[in-house]
This record gives sequence, structure tokens and C-alpha cells, in this order.
Amino acid sequence: MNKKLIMLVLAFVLVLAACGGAATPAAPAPADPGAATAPPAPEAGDDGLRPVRLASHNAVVEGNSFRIRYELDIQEAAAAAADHGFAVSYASFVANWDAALEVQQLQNSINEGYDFILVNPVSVTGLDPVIERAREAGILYINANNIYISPGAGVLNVGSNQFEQGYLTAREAGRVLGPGARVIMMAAREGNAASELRQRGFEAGIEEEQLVVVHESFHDWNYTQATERMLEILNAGVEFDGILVSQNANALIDAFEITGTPLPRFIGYHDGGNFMLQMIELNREERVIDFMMLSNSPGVGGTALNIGLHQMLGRELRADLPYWSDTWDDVIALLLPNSIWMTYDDSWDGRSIFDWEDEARRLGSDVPTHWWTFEDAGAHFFY
Amino acid sequence: MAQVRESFSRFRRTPAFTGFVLFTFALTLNVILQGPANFFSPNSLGILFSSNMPFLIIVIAQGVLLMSGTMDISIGIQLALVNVVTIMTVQEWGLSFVMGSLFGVAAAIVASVVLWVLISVIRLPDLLAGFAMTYVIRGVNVFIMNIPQGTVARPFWQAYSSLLLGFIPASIIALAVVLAIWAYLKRTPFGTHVYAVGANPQNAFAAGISPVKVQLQAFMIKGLFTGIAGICLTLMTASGNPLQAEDWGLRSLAAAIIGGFTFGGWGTIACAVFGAGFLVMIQNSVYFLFNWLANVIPGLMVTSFWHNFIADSIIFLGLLTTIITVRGQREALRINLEKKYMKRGESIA
Amino acid sequence: MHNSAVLRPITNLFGKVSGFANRNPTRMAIILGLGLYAFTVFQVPGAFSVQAISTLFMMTLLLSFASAGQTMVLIGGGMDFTVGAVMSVAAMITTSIMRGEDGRFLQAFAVCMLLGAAVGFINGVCTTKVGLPALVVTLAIGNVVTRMSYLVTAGTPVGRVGPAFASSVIYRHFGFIPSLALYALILFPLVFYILYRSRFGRQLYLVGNNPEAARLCGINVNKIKTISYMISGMLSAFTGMLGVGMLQASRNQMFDAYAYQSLIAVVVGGTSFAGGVGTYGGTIAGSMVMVMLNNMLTALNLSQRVREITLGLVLVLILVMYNRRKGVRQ
Repeated sequence: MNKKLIMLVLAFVLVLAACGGAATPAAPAPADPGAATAPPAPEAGDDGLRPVRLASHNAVVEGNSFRIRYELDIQEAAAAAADHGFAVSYASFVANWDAALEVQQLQNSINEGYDFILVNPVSVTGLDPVIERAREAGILYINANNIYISPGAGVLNVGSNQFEQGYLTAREAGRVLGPGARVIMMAAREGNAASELRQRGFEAGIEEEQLVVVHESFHDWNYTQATERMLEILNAGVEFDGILVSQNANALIDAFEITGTPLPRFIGYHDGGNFMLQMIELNREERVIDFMMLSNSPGVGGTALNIGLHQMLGRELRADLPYWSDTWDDVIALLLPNSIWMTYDDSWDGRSIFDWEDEARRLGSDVPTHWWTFEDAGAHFFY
Repeated sequence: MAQVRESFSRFRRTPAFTGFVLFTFALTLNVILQGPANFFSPNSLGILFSSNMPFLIIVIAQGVLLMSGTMDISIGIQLALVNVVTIMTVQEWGLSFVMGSLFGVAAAIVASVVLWVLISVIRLPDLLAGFAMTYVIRGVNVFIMNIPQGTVARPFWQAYSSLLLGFIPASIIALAVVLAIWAYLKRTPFGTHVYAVGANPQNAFAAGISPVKVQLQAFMIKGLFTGIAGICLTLMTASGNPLQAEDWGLRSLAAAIIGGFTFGGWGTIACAVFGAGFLVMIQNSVYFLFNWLANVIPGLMVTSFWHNFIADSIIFLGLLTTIITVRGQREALRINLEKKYMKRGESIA
Repeated sequence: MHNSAVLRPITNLFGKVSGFANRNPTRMAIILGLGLYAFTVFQVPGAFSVQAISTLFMMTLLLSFASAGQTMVLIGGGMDFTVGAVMSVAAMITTSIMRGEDGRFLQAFAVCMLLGAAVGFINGVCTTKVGLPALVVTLAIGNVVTRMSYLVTAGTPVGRVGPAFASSVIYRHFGFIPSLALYALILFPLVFYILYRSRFGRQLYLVGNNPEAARLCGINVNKIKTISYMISGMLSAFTGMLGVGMLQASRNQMFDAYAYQSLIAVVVGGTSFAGGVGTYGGTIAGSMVMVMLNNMLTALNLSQRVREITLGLVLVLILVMYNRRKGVRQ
């Protein structure tokens, strides 16, 4: 019974292979991995623009306003590249947090002969074999947002400084609350690299400001779970002055509204227009709660695209940039400062928080973003 | 001709028929979208096998449990357990990769035996026992490895993704090992008892087969296969991550059911292969569908929401089509099967 | 089975507890829930307050609403894994229709009920006709529903619930009775009536207990099962509305965790996977156990890994007391 089955399958595969073989000569120039080892063809198209086929690979997009904006920013940056002699075509692929699917998709993109692969990876390791194949095929491979820490992979990373996000938040908490203040610290996810880095940032700031952590929790980047955890912390009768949370601060505010508990004196951080609006509304009459709005800017993808375009022109990255050498050796990571932030007293462009109301309403759950333009990236990051 | 027709009608009544039809459909779709020349290039086939081997093998492992009338949805996170144990024993204890792999396999077998105790001995509902153990194993994984890290020596992962003789994907060796183990097991009493226990444990027990013992064997085999799949995953990614593959618990179950398994006593390894193949081919087809669209329609920027929607809709429709192929024959066959194995069981008793 | 002399007293005690749990699952669940809370208060004295009890009451109610449909489906011998997906989609529909105005409540309610009934109908037809396990079929349907919600909302659902509707959920009468309890005054009697007083309820138990016998009695088994899925869909949709009334703004997949949570609450309440056995009273108590368990784990201030291991082990322990399938020798 089984033998017949195997034979049937074999027969089927052979028939298909035969069809494939017959079709080969007719197929219009099938992608030949051998031919791709040469660097991408520099000649321009009919419109005088150099064609660049970009494949953006993302771990997840669904349910993640950061990543939705990340993809949109890449699209905008791709469209803007037309002014600088590039016709960038954009295709995006999502692996749904599935490392195997991600590898498969990346390998497909290498086979399909994309010129530029931009990856926001599922995990901070696990793509060494893929990166090597891309390099052999002469494809430009940049890793964006989630820093790829596998030692010796030799891949360029472009990401936001996650450590700094935790650190700045804890410093602001210390400035507002003063030394000895009690804080709750809520991580995103144990075992996740970005979350761990932010935790380290929190801890460094806590030590400098002499804050006391009275309770620790986590929210798995899940909004509903964040509210539930906060409700349970309130149930436990923990006394605290402020909250340090790895994003999703607005979900925690909901827990205070549901229970009618008085707000803490400080909360941070979160990005997103709805958090800004929440803070504006709470503080409208009088100063009720201090906060840290900090954008883990989704524009890293757009920035990475522009950096890659300069690399395609053969330019060399500067050596004196804020590269990462802290935790992992041999990791080439360009860490962008977190340039969009806002506290009760100050903001990144000096405007008062109340001037931001319309903008915050427009944003909704979207995140304020910033990406380096082609000119800026060229001026700042290259010789 | 009559012979061909007869053997086809016999094949139609095997459990794998549904999975075969669906798999053929998905494969054809993939080949058309990717282009036959590209699809059948050794390189592309090699990648197809190497990156999907872990999933394929755990669907087989899940299938073995389904045959014996139970299941394990924590199988996905167990894959991560094998991964972190392998990487960390190599990194922290300085073991060779092969020794580390053995520890990884052992961890999967231990986890499987724990599940066996909960499901077969204490008789907890298998779905909820698997759910609870997913939490436990995830916590253990983070204890072993607190952050993604580690690496596998280059020769190992290069060998895994290489092509033997220039066209045979090396990862197929893992599948061959699994199939060889199964071919051997099929000849042992376990090979028949597992169906008897899965179809009707009471009758099996009456016939002198111990369901608890047979399920222990099934769980250990599942653990061994999970270990092999975990090593494949480790070789594929060449590093460790404590939080990966968790979704594969339910996905492997869905793949096995699509391939033709039911909960107990019905289904063959071919079902698992076709079921897993169907899911993989659909996902791959969706990649090439959108890749093709992006080429055909310049400036098209489709959100990835469409990818998932189309993939999941096809999977759902695939489930629905099983109604056409399976209905009617399944019940009749199961009765036949029970009769057959019960007779043997009685003679053993 | 393999009792040694040392283990015998322990297994005897456990046998007694287990026997009690199986005879009185509701009472056992109440004892367990209160026990967990007592332990929490013993460890963290601050956890005992009117405020906390009020919040716990509210969370228990929400989970018990979400589990009501699941109870019926399990009694009928099925399983509904779309509970979370339907709740999330109903939440998104509610905020996008209401857009902060209470006047549109009825519109939102009508659309949500339609959605719940439609998904339930598809669940019912697919599980009864396809003949595949309900777990896998409803999982696949739930996935499609979730994916569709992303297409429609583009990943960023809009709007808010109306302020009056929100306070009808979170307002606390006399400072401690959550307003959500008023919904329970309608929902609980409704569910009890359907299960214990209506003809449908009696037929549902029969269908779950022995579909063959039910068929011989002239009951349309598939119809009864499909209706149970439809009721489950509508109850999930309504719970989704109440849930977003609490959180006010909606997100994709916001209530997905309720698929498993409801399943465990129902099983802890004494409803069996085999069908034909179970009570809604037990489910309410089971919901309390789940809420108390999560509350305890947070109060104990554990790291995530320790928390997850503890949660898994406690769930195993609770399951061991309950709902063991019959052994082959019994």
C-alpha cells in the first residue's frame, strides 16, 4: 500500500519535473543564482533611475502599530528615493514569528534575485546561514530594528537604542520623584533581547537616581494583559510612587480608570498618539501626572533603506559612529538616538504638550516617527 | 488499465488520500506560481527541505500520538527546549555539538514522558495538560537560556544546508532516519497495538494490550522525533532562542488532521507528510503569489495582512474539502480496522 | 495503582479530595478560589481590601460571561475555540460603530449579535458536517475571522465606546459593587434558563451524553449542536462588547487569550470534555479560580519564568483533582 503511494508521488514529481524541464528554455531568463554574485547592475533604466528591488522581511506586522508604521515608513522612503536616482520597488513578507518560515522566505528572496533585503528578524540570532548566502549572491543585506547579535555574522544593523529608552525613562522618573521613591517595573517579555536591553536601561537609571523597585511584572507586549497585570498589582495593595514600563503605559492608565484608584506621580514610557492625548487630557486642569513619551521610532526601517542606498553607491560608513560595543562583540550596530520624546516640561522640539493635541488626535494609535532622509543619512553616516 | 484503476480505488480508501489530494493541489499551485524551472532547481528544493524539515518531523511525531489516541500541543515549545539544551550544553559545558544534541534529544524524551504521566497515567485532558506544560516548558527554557544567544560550529550548519552529490538536500537524512525508525517500529507489536489502543482503549485492554504502556512507547517515540526535529531547527538557525516555535503545537495538530488523521486509531505517516506538505506549500505559494504581483503591478504595495488572510483561508477550505474525500469511508474503515486488530489482540491474549 | 506504604496516606487524602471534587465540582471550585485568595492575603496582607475584592468580582464576572457559551458547547460534546476571536472582533465593531457616542449602542449590539450568530453558525455547520475534531475546525475558523479583522481595520481599529456604556461596566455602586453585576442579573438567569428549563437545554445534555440515543429519540443532533455554537458566538460577542466597555479602546486580537481561559474555567467548573456533563454554576466558580490564580501569581511578585512554571504546575494540580477521564478498567 505504502509502496504504491510512494510510487504515485514519485510519478507525479517526475511528470512535473519533465514539464519543468520542457519549460526551461522557454522561461524568460530564470533567476540564476550564479549570475547574481556580481554586484547589482549599476546601469540606469529608461527613466534614468537605477532600479532597486527591495524585499522587506518582517517578523510580524499584525496587531503591532510600531511595525505597521515601520513598513509604511519604508514605503515612503522608497518613494522618496526617486529624487536621488533610484527606482525602488517594494515587496514585503511576514513570517508571523515563525523562524522556519522566515528562513524559507529569505532564501526565496535570495533565489528571486532581489537587490536589497531589509530584515526585521524574528530572533536576534539564527540567520547566519542566510546572511552568508545573501553575501555570496551579492545581495545587500541590512538588519533593521531588532539587532542581530550573532557574533561574527558581519551584518550591518540599524536600530534604535533600546537601552537608552529604559535609561531615559528611569532618569526622568528620578528627576520627578526624587531619590528613594518607590517604583513598579514592568518588562515586556523575559527572554526577548529588546525587552532585556530596556530592563538594563531601567536598572542603570534606577541605580543612578536611587529609586526603589517594589514590584516587578511583565506584559508580553499585550495590551489587555498589561491592563490585567496592573489591576492585579493594584489588588495586591502595593504602594508606589511611579511606574516604569517597557511601552504600553496607556494600558496601565486604563487600570487606574477602571478601579478609580488615584494616579501615580509618574508613568513611562509609551509612544503613540493615544498616550499623548491621554496625558494631555489628564494634565489639562492641573499637573496630575508626570510622564515619559518616548518613540521607539519605527523609522529605523526607512533610515536603514537610505543607508543601504548609499552603500549601493559604494560609499563607506564612518567608523566614529555610535556603534554598539557594549554587550556583544563583533556586532556592527548603528544605534540611532531616540530623537522623539516628550515629558511634562519639555519635548523634542521644545513645544508644550498642549500644542500637540491636534497632532495626537490625528495619530490615534499610530506612533510618531522619524527617519533619516537620503541626504541626512549620507551626511551623517558616511565619509 | 483495470489494475491501475483497482489500485487507485484501493489508494482512495487509504487514510492518506485526503492529504494527498490537498498536497497535490498545493504543490501544483506552488510550482505554477514559482515557475517549474525555479521550483525544481536543486537549490530551491534544498531550501524547501532544510527550512521545513523541523515542522515536517514534528507533524510526524504528533501523528504517532494521534494514532495512539492522544496528542501533545506543547510539542512546539519542546522544540525550543531541544534547541536551548543543545546550544547551552555546548556553550557552557564545552561539549561537542553531537554530545549536546544527545542532551537535547534526552530533554525532549523527558518532557514527553512527563506529558505521558499527565495524560495516560493521571488521565488529564490532553489538550489542557499540553496547555499547562507549555507554560512550564517555556519557563524552563528561559531558565536555561535567558536571552537568545549561542552558535553552532560552521561545518555543522553548512553540512545541514548543503546538497549531497549536488542535488540531494542533506536535511533529507533526518527524514530518512525518522522514516527508518518508523519502518522498524511498524514491524514490532507496537505497530499494530498503537492503532488498537487509539481506536478503542477499552477493547484493546480487554484484548490484553496495555494502553498505558503503548502510549508510553508512543510518547517516547514522539520525544525522539521531536529531538531530531529540534536538532534540525538548531542546525537550520545555528543558534539558540528560548521562545520559538510555540505556535507549532497547534499547527502540527492542524497539519496532521488535514493530512487525514483523526483523534485515535486512524492515519499513517504518509498523512503527516502530506498534511505538513500542504501547509508548507500554501505558505510558500502565498510568498510567490505576492512576489509575482509585486513584479506584475509596479508600485503595488500590498499589506501583509492579505498574505495571512489568504493562507489561512486556503487552510480552512482545505479542512472543508476533507468532507468530500473522507466522509463515509472513514467510519466503515475504522470498524474494519478494529475488527482486524481486535482479532490479533485476542490471539495475543 | 502503585501505592507504596509511604505514599498511601497522601494518595488516600488526594483520592478523597478528588472524589469530593468530582461529586461537587462547583463547591470544590469555590473552596479552591477562596483558598487561593486566602493564601494570597496570607502572603501579601495588602491584597485584602474592598477595592481588590470588587475588582476580582468584576474580572470573574467577565470571564464567566465569556465561558457561558463554551459551557453549552462542551455540554453538547463540541468545543469552541473562536471565543477569543469573536470577542476581539465584537470589541472592534463596538468601538468603530459607537465612536464615543452612546446613542449608537443598539446598532453596535445588533451587528455584534449578527456576527456572533454567523460565526457560531459556521462553527456548527462545519463541525457537524465535516466530521473533523471541533478543536481543529473552530481554530481554523477563528484564524480566518482574526485575519479578516486585520484586513477590515488595516491593523488599527478606530473609535471608542460611549461614556455611559463604559460607566455601565466600570462604575461601582456604593463604591464597591461593579456595575457589570447588573448585566449578570440578566445574563445568568438567561443561561440558567436555557440550560436547565428550556427544551433545548434538556436536548443538549442528551446530545452530549449520547448522540446515538438522542437521534433515536427523534432529536436533530446537528441542529442542537449548531444552535449551541450560535448561542456561544452571541454570548462571546456580547462579552467582547462588555470587555471593551471596560478597556474603552479596541485592538486586534485583544481578547484572544479568552479562548483558553474560558476552556479552563469551564473544565475547572466540572464540565467534561466528553460532553453531557456540566453546570453553569460550576463555570462561574471555575472562572473565579482562574481569576484568583492569576491574581495570586501577580501578588507574589514572581519573575516571569517562575510565574509561568508555577502557573503550569498549579493548573496541572487543579486538573488532577478534576475531570479525569475514566480509566480503561473502570
